[in-house]
Amino acid sequence: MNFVLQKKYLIQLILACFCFIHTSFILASSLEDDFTGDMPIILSATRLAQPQNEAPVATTIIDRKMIEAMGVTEIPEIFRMVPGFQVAFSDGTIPVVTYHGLSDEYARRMQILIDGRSVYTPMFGGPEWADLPLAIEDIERIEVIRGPNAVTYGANSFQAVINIITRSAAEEYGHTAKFIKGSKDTNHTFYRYGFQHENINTRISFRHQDDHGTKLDFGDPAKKFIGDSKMVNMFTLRSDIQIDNKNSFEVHLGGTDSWMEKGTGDHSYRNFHKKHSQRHYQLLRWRNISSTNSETTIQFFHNFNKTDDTWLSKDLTPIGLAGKYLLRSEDTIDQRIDLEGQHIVNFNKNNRLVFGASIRKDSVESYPFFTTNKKFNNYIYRVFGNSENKFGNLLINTGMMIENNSITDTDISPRIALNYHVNKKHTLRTSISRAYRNPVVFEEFGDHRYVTTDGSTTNFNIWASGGLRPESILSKEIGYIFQDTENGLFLDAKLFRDSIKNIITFADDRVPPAEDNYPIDLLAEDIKNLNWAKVEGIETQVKYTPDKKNYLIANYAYINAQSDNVSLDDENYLSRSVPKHSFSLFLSHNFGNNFSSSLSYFKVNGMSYLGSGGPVKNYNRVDMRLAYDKRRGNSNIKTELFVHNMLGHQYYDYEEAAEHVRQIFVKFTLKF
Amino acid sequence: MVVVFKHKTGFIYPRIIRYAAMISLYVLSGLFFTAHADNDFIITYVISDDREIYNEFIHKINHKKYSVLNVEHFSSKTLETLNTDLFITIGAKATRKVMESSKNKNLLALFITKTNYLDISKKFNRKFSAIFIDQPVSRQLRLIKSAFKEKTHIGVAVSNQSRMHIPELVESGNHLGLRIHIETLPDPDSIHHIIRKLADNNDLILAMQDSNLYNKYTIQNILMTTYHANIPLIGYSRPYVQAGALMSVYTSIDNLALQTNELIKQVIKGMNLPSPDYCKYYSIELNHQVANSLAINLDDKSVLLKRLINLEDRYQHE
Repeated sequence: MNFVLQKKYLIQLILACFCFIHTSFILASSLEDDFTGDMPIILSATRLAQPQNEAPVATTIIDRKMIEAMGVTEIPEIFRMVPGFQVAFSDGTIPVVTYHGLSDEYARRMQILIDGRSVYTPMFGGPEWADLPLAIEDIERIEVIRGPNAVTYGANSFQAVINIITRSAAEEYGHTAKFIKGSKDTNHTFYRYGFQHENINTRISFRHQDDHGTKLDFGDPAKKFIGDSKMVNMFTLRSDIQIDNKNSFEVHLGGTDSWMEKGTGDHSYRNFHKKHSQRHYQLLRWRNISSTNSETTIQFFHNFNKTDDTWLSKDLTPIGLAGKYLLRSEDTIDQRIDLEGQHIVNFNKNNRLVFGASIRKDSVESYPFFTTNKKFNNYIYRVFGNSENKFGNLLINTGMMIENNSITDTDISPRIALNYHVNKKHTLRTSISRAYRNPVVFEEFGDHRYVTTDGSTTNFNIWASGGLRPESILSKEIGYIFQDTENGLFLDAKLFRDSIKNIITFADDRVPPAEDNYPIDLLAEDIKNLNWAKVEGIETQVKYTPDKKNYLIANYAYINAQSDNVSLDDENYLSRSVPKHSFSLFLSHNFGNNFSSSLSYFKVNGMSYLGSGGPVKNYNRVDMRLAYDKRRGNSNIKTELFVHNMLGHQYYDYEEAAEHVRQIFVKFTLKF
Repeated sequence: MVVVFKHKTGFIYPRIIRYAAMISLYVLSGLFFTAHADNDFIITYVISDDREIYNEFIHKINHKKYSVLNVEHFSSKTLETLNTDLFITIGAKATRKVMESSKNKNLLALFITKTNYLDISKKFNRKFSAIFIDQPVSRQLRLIKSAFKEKTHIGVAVSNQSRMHIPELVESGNHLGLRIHIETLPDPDSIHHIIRKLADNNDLILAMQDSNLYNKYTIQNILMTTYHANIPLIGYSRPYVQAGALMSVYTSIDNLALQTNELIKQVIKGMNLPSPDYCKYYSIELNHQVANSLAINLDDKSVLLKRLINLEDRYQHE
C-alpha cells in the first residue's frame, strides 16, 4: 500500500475514534457519587513505576525533575547518569548511547521504547537519536532496565532497555514556550499547548532545532573539518481520552523533518552533502481497567522513516580511480506496524500475572544497501507471560517470551528473578535470564556496492552471505538494594556476568563476484556470527534526597570484557569497546529566593568504539547549570545558564574528529 | 398504601412493573419477618436512584417492616398520604424531595454529604437528622498523623464549596502538630496550577470533597501530577483511593448500617433522632500499589485503624 493512502486511512481511523469516544462519556453529577459511585482508575498497574526493590533486574529511573536539573540540550546526554552506560557523539548528528560497550554508531543491543512503541530501527538497529520525534520537554520519566528484559519489552531487549514515558496530556495545560541559544550557533525553539475539552486531554508540541555542529569549534580544518550541522523540525500530539470509568484511549502522533550535513572535508567519497530525513509515527492505545485487579491494553502503532541521501563524490584520484566519480546514496525507507495485546491480573495481593501477544511487520527498502528495489519484510510473532509471586518476604518473578521471526525462526527467552526483602530497608536480588538479538535486515541481506558513474568500476563493499543466527545473552546478576525513604537514601549495587554468543560481526573475508573490479580491496565485508564476549563487573548507584532542596546522585561501574575478537595489532576489539571504569556525580541545590543550581561530573576510562570509532582516551567533564525561576500567578518564567564541559578540557568520546570543547547555553522558559 | 407513578411516555411501563414488583416484595417480606417484632413501626426508604449499593445497604438494616420508593417514580403528593413512622432518605435528591412534601415527618437522611445537608437545611430552613457520608477533615488529618511521622507539611486546596472546613483544618492541624498550607481556587481553570504549587511545597496533599476541585474532569490531572511529583494524595472517599489516591478514612456500608440500626432501635423506643453528624464508625482504605510505587512503607490497615481510633479517643477526651 502506498504511504499516502496509509496515512489517509490512519487519519480517518483516528478521527473516527475521537468522534466515537467524545460522545460516549457520561459524567455523574451528584456529590454523593464521589462516595457511592465508581471513579476511573487513573494510577493503574501500567501507569505506575515498578518499585526498584521489586524489579527483576537493576533499574535506573530518571525523572523529569532530574532531566531539567541536568541542563542537557539533547536526549542522549541524559544517559551519562546511568551506571554502565556510554554516551558519545560520532559527530554532531550521530549520538551513540550504549550499555556495556560493544557498539558502533548503531547501538543494536539495546531496546528503546517511547510510550511502549519500539523505535529500534529495523534497517540498522538502534534509534535515530538526532531526529527522533520526541521533545525532551515532553518526557516524564525514563526507566532504564540494566539487563535483558525480553519478557516485558520484547525482542532485542538484549543488554538493556530504555523505556521513555512521556507526560500524560492531562498534566500539561496552557502554553509553554522555550528557547535555547548558545555555542555551535545552537537555536532551539519549543512550543507546547495543552488543553482539556470535557473528557479529552490533548497536548500539541512543536520543536525547531538547529546548530552548526562541531566543525567551527576547533582550529585545524584540514584534519578535523567535518560536516555535522543539523536542522530538525518536530511535531507531536498526544490525546488522553477517558471514555468512561473503565475505558480510556490514547492517541499519539508525531513526526520530524530534518536536514543534516554529512561528510568530511578531506574525504573523496564521504565528501560534504546533505541528508534529508522524514519520520512519523501513530500510536493508538485502548485500556480497559475493569477493577484494580484486572487491566487489558491493546495498542497499535506504525513507524515510518525515510532518508534521502544521494550525492556525487569528488574525483576519486586519491583512491586510485583517477577522473572517476561515484553517485553515492544512502536512501532508505523503513516501516514498522505492530499490534499488541496485554492483560494484567492481580489474583490477590501476592500474586500477579501479565501475559500478552503481539504481531509485528518490519519492512525495509533501500537500493543502495541491498542493490535491489525489493522490499524486505520481517514478520515477528510474540507471546509472553510473567508472573510475580510473593511468599512472605520473597518475591519470585518468572517469565518467558516466545518469538518467531522471518529471519531466525523461533527463540525462547526465559527469566527468573528472586527478590528477598531482608527488612523494609534491605533487599537482595538475584536473577538469571536469556535473551536474543535478531539480526537487523541489513545484517542478513546487506549488499552495498560502489559503482562509478561511468559504470566502469564496481566494488563490493559489504556483501552479506545471510543465514545468520540470533545473538544470545545469558545474564546473571546478584544485587543489593538499600532504601531508606524517611531519610531519602537509595543505593543499588549489582554484580553481573553476561555471556554473549554468536556476536554478529563484520568479517573482511568474502571473495566478491567477478564484477568487482576495484583493484585495491580484494575482499568484500561479510556479516557473520563470529564472536563471543564475556562482560562482567559491578555497578552501583546512590541517590540521596535529604529534603526538597538537595539532590545527590553518584554512579560507578567497573566492567571487564573478554572476547575472542582479536584485531591485527593484537588489540582485543570487542573487549576494548567497554571502558573499565566510569563514574558520574550529580549535585543539585535549591538556594531559595528562586535560585537553583546543579553540577554534573563524568569520568570515563579509555575505550574504543567499533566500526568507525577510534581509540578514545580517558576523559572527564564538568557541567553546570544555574537557574532563576520566577512565578507570578499562574505564569512562570525561568532563565537558565548551562555550561557544558566547564573546565574546557578538549576531549573526544567517539573519534578524534568530533572534539568537545566548552559550550555555553542560555535557556528561557515561559509558561502561562 | 397507594403509590402513584407519574410518567411522560409509555416506554416506562416495564420499569413501572419492575418497581411495583420490587416494592411489593419489600413490603411483603418486611411484613412476614417482623409481624411480631417491632409492633407496627414502619420505615419508608426513599432512594435517589436504583443503584445496587442502596439496596445492599437496605438489606443490612435489621428492621424488616419497610417500603422502598424510588424518587424518580413518585410525586411529592404521594409522601403526604403515606403512612410511615420514619423516612430514611438515601442520597441528597431523595432528601430534597421528602423535604418538599412531608414537613412534619421523622426524617433521617443518609448517603448525604455535609455540604449538601447544609444546602438543603438552609433552603427549607429546617434542621433534620442525618449521618453524613463523608468523614470529617479532622479525622483525615488524624489518619495522616497515624500513618506518617515525618510528613508534617500538608497542602490543601479549597474553593467556595469547601471553604467552611478551613477553621477545622487549622485547629486540627495545630492540635496534631501538622502545618496546613491552604490554597484557595480563584477560578476553575487554576486547579492544576494550585495542585502543582501544593505538590512543590508540601509533603502530601489532602483532598477534600469539593466538586469544584475534585471531579471526573480533574481526577486525571490531579492524580498524575501528584504521583509524578512523588507527593501522596490523601483521598476523601474509597473510590478516590481506588482511582489512585494513597489512602482515606471513609464510611463503609457496614459502618453506616451499624449506626443506622442503633438509631432505629432508639427511635422505636421513643427517643428522638439525634442531630446531624458524621458517622461515628469508619474504615480505612489503602492503595498498596501506589504506596509501593512511591516507595512508601505503610503499616497494615488494622494497625493504622487502631492507631487512628486511639487518636480519636484521645481527641474526644481532651
